[in-house]
Amino acid sequence: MTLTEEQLIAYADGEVSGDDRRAIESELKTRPDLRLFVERQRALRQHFASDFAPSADEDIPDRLLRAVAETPVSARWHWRQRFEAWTEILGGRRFVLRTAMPAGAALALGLAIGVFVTPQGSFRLDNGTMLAQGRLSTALDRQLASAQRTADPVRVGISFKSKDGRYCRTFTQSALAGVACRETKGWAIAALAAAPAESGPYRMAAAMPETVRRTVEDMIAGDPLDAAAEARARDAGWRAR
Amino acid sequence: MEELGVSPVVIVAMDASTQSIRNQMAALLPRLRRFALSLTGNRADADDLVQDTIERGLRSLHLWQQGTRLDSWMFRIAQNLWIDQVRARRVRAVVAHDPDAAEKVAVDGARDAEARLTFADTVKALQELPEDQRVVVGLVLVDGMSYREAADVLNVPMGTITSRLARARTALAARVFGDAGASL
Repeated sequence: MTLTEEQLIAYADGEVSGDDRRAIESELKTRPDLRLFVERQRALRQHFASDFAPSADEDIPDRLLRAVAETPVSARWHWRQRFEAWTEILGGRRFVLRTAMPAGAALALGLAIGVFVTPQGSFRLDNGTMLAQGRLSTALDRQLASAQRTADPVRVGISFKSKDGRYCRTFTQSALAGVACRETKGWAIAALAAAPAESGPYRMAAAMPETVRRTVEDMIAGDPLDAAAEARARDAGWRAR
Repeated sequence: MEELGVSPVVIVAMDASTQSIRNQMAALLPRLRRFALSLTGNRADADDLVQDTIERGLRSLHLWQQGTRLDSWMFRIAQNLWIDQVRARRVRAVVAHDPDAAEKVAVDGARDAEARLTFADTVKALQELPEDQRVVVGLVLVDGMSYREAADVLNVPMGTITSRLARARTALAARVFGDAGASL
């Protein structure tokens, strides 16, 4: 068997598996020269990895952090995100729209589809206040965080009393996460954010988007309700005294 | 119209996904800086390259295919920007030819016998590789990517990674171990 440098280097990098790997290993047993070559290639790899390792631990210059924080994000990406989140959530089903409409028109359409037309959507407007409706409203009324099934379309996170005396609850529904507070007319949406793509339906309160987390921190009075307090608040219809 | 009443909430939704992307990019900074250093050979140029990469990435985010790896895409931007810079610089270098350059290379060649390289030597050895090989070394040996991941970044077949890497390492091993240990 004739082994090439390429094969031996790939082997040294752990990139060869199965029969090829076994064949190389049996050849190496009788070839000290090849073993030396492989060892040196491993040492070389180690040399580069350790030489450059410290450079990944250095302090990051401010100008790079500023570039990350302040460079404007592609407007086209912006609008696409915004539009997809709304059409997906508000309509209760996934819309794929390919359109050459100006972004403002696309947004208006997304809102129209989601808020006004689709009867099974999760939100409606009431004098400029966004209220939960349908499945979301029902879940916020009844669902206890301690007794949820993973299949529940709406997941409730934490429940808490706000500084202005309302009961509020965090929730996720497909790709949206938010905070809703109980008012006379229903659950008023206090914050809404696109949930990160990797979250899926099993997200925990700890993995809430930054916007939602900050809203909770701003609003919360004391600690979140424990399971017993959550159940009592639900049984009392989420009416704060 | 009612849209006005909704827009603050919409903006919140929009900011959350933007913030998530910025967080992911911030998390990539250490790896991008290290990769850039392996390409450029000095810290200042490396950080310039990373800054250009971040700015290009955020401004052209609509070109990123959501669901694919953000790190692969950012590394691709970094290497494309760098290759562009090197080519532009080469045009200038031809114009301003340095007559002493050949002599310097000869002097450096005499130092190759040193068995153990300092970091500066390692960086210098990298600088002498052709650009396409240097990129593969930066991805696989410095960043630690698999051949598959490196092939995805560069959008080339895995065989191309294997052969470029082998050529680069034969040259680098000659630096570290002397000529005897460099090849079969």
